[in-house]
Amino acid sequence: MLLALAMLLLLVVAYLGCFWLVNFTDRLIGPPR
Amino acid sequence: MQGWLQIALVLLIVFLLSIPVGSYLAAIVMDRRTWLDPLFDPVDNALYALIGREAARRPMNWKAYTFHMLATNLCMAVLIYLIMVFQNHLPLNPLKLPGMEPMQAFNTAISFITNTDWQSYGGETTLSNFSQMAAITFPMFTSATTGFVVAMAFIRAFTVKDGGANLGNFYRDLIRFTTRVLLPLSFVLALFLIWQGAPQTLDAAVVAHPIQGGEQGISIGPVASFETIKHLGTNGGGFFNVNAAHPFENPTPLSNWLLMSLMALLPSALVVCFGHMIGNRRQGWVLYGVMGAMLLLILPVAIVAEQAGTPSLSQAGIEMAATGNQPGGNMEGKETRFGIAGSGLFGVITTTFTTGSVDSMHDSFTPMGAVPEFIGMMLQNVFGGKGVGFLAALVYGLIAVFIAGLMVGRTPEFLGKTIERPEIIMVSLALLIHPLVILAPSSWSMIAPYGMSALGNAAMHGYSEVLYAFASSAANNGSAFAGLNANTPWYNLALGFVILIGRYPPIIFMMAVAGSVAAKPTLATTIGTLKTDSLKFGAFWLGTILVVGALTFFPALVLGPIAEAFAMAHGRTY
Repeated sequence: MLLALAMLLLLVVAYLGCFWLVNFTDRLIGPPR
Repeated sequence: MQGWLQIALVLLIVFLLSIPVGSYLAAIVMDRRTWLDPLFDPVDNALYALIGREAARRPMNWKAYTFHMLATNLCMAVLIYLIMVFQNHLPLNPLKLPGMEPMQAFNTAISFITNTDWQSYGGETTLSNFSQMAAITFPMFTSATTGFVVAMAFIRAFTVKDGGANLGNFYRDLIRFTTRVLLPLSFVLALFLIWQGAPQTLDAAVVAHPIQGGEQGISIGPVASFETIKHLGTNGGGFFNVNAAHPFENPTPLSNWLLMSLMALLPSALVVCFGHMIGNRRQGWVLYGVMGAMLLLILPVAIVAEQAGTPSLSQAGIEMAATGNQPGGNMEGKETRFGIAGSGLFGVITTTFTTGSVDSMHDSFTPMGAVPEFIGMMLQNVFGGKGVGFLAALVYGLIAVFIAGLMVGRTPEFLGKTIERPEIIMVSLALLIHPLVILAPSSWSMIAPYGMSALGNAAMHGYSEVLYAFASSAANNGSAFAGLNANTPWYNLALGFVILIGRYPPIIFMMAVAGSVAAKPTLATTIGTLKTDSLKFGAFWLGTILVVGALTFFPALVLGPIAEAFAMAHGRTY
């Protein structure tokens, strides 16, 4: 059960990383010119 | 000769079908009326009411569109994971199968929600019917739709006049593509497969009484409905462990033809749809030509190599030339009812259109026969899957525009939008991520004991198995070379992350490009504009893909299948 929870958490964290990447990319590309 | 005719016929039918289907897709995406609207409008309206009409109407810029796509995918991935881990507590589990092991479920949830369908499990011995339907067939619809709608949002960026504030509404796009394309086509084509002999039942198995005595359980299930969306949505995961080589998944040569056509239909139609959406069909045909040329370049390599067979087979006295009653060539790992042409074409289509379904064992292909399969997954844009493969082609297209612009001293432009530093940074990141997640972990696997211990073969062939696994995962293809035991903690976790990184970051970077170009004014075409809808630019686009692709992946191919081909010619096999 502990492993099942750990893997679930890993899955959620992996997607949270993608959300972070969206924000990071938004800052990287900067405002429209 | 008969084999080549079969191949030509499949490709011709796909080409002819892609034109009206592409036009229909464009009508759906551009909100044009179609004759099917009276049928589907009530269904869509009911779904809009269910999720809230405002949610399905709100305009989304690139960031909002990507956020909602990711949030939806996250919710579905968690649901899939929970269903598989706790399937022993859920209904429709007549064989009383236990819950899936968590690391394997982690890998499988990511795999199916990203349209990859990599499987480190055997379907009939691992999953209940409920899991097959709710955790496997369901995401086959949503993952296919996700790729498609993201590509549509990207294309809209070149046509909108509002600065990119509205690239569409993710939920509306998701619902319309599912109800108007995938569901009706899957339903009708499932009936065709049932007619051909594929089972469609909630029973788990039938009991056979072999002549040597005893009993044998033969697995069945809702296979026909599974098979259609699996191929139409370029998903690829098998109901059974041997995938479309199983006679219940792919009963006849006619069903084999249908499955190949389904895999190729929507990715090729999407390119036609692109031409309609930007109001420049010629541009769509240039891209179609680039992708088609690559397919026609690599396909014969697989067929010729498989028909030529191997020195070992020749020495064993096996006839390599096809005759009236036997197909000749390398038939190891192939179904006799499909032969060389039906297996070779299926193998190339499944890897170039990034489906991942197999009707023969790719591990048993000759080394040179497998090279086109590697190329399909490494380039990822020989049509590619629905959406992400298209975006991969646009990555190379924008790089070609940039290089061509620099060569002739003009500001690079694509479809009236200038391509500048921010776009090129994003495009470069999208381009580099793919080789990074293939080459780095496959190299690591070849030096780590936990990577090497899972190999089924030694030397170059072992490396090919690992390289194929990571290329297949990164390209969201999902087919397996076999030989490799991927159900280990290392491969379940590493391939899971490679699948995820191969899917979302390139989408995010390309959506950022969409947001950036949508905010720019559309420039008028002048005599100084670099024409991207010309044959000349098409050739340059193709050259860019081949040169960049070769520089990136050729060394790895040399270490794997190409070296093995030379060794085999000298009598060494692994």
